[in-house]
Amino acid sequence: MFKQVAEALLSGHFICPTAYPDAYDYLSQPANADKIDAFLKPLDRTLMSLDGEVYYAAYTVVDDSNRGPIREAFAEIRAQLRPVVEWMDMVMTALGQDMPIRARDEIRMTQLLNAIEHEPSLTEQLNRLTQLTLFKTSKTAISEQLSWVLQKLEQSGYLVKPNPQASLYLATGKIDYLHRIIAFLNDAEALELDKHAANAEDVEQQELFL
Amino acid sequence: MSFDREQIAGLIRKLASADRLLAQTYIDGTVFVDDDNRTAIDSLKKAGIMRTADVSDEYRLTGDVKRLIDRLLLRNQRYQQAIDLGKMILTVEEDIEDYRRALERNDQDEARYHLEQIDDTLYEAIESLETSLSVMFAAITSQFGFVSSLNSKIRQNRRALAYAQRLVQELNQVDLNDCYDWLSWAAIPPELSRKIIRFIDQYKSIVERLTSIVARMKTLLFTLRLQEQTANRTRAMAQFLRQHPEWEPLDWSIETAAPELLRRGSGLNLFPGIDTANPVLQADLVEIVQELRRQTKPLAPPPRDNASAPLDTQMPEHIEYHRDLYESHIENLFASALERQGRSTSALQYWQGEGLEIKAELWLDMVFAQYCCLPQRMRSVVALEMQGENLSDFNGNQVIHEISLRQV
Repeated sequence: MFKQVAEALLSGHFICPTAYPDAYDYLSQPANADKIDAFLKPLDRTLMSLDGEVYYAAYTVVDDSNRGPIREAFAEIRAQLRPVVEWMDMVMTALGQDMPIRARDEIRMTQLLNAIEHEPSLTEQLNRLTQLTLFKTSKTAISEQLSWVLQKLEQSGYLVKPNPQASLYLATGKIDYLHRIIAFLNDAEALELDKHAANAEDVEQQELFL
Repeated sequence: MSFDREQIAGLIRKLASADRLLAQTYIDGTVFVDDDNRTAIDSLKKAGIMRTADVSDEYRLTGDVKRLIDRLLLRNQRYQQAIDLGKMILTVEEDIEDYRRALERNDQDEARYHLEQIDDTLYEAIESLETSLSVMFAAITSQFGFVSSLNSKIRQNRRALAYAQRLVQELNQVDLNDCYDWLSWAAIPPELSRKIIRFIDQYKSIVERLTSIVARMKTLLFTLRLQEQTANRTRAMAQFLRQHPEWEPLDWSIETAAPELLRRGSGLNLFPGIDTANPVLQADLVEIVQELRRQTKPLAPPPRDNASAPLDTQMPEHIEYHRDLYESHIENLFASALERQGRSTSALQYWQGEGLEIKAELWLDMVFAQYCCLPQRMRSVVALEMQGENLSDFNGNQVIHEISLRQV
């Protein structure tokens, strides 16, 4: 398992219970995690963990030799930020849940489709989503659009499909990483998202009283 | 208050005879009376097993039966129990005193009754604490799975935490020294001391577990709050992105000290090679080659990042053989030695005559080296004589100043 884990990490993958269950179990053993970390050290990398739910390899130093790959990886996340955040917002609204989408969460296409088909604002949101670069398509049928979006998320590593015949998707650790990036951008670019969220709640409550 | 055995057996039979009806009522909450079940319901009502609901032809299980089933099935349990440990301690103390008096009077029946009372009180106190603990533990483990929304989970967690903290206060009312005092009775019968010691042990274990549950609840509440913050932030981010369609995050990865979170690379492309010379791999390699040969639709090789180059269509030109210049000179030197038929030919004179650009020492070295490389039959035809000075420190070694060649 050491070889598979090392290769997956060096290839820039996120190791989580849904995308790489065996590798995740392997890394969950502290002795194995230490072994992998020791292997990564001479390559100027270290094993990073997000609350023990997701593992990935990160550079220990930033210099001219690795600035390119770091920039490339962040450019990918920057490009995917808008479409994936829009998608998460749509799913939370469609399923009426106040929980964030996180690694291990189940996304059932039929359940989602049922909710979107019956709500014009969600249909519109899905339509808008398919105009964004990551999900761009000329498909017009709701089911085709949704299926396309989920496929793209699977290809981008945010979802996995345990059974190719079924319509069940599982969220991967890359989603958790994206949440961390949002939190980072919120602080670094002073977006004041937490204030926005509080204001939105106030407006919602005021609307209820009107 | 004593019941005869037949009375208890009759009650149990009544429950058993209406098993399906009672199960259905328990699950649905109510049952409507009709011609088929009227007799059974009347009988159950008389026995205190069922009661009328809000509507006259609707029946429910009585609270006692429902509680009994709840308790036995561990279903729909409430961890919040009205536990009054102060009162319980007083009751036990009173019962112990009554038990002691009864024993002193040698009234065995009354003593047994008081002992049973003590046992029931201690058992019930521990059981209700254990139930509270196990339900709270299950709630934490399932992350309050009986409610689905994050908001409700946070509310439930907060409520459970408050209850657990109250329970800790309640448990603090029990002073274990008082319990040990119950044992400070010279003629204490072993059956009572066993019960008291078991209660003390169980109490200690409950306090320990409750402390751990409170800690876990605090951690879980913190986790749930983080999730709530993440969800709210995602929503706010989506709203922000809609309000600012032009916004793009800055490229933080080019900062001198890129934050740790962004120190992720795009990943290496791993293309392992095969050591074809390794005999261990050869059998597998042959198998792969044969497998590839058998393929009706061969797989296309992976695309490579090679740039295309135009094909060179020019006819190849004849390139002249470039001889080594000094090799030719040495050959000429040997040839002239052969031509002079026994007369000596000076290598230095040749070097001077031809105006060679290399130093004389190097020329002499090359002549000597080339002579050594000649086949034996050639060397036997040309004799080489070296002139030089003996080195002072080394016997037989000379610094060569001149080489003469002569046909033998």
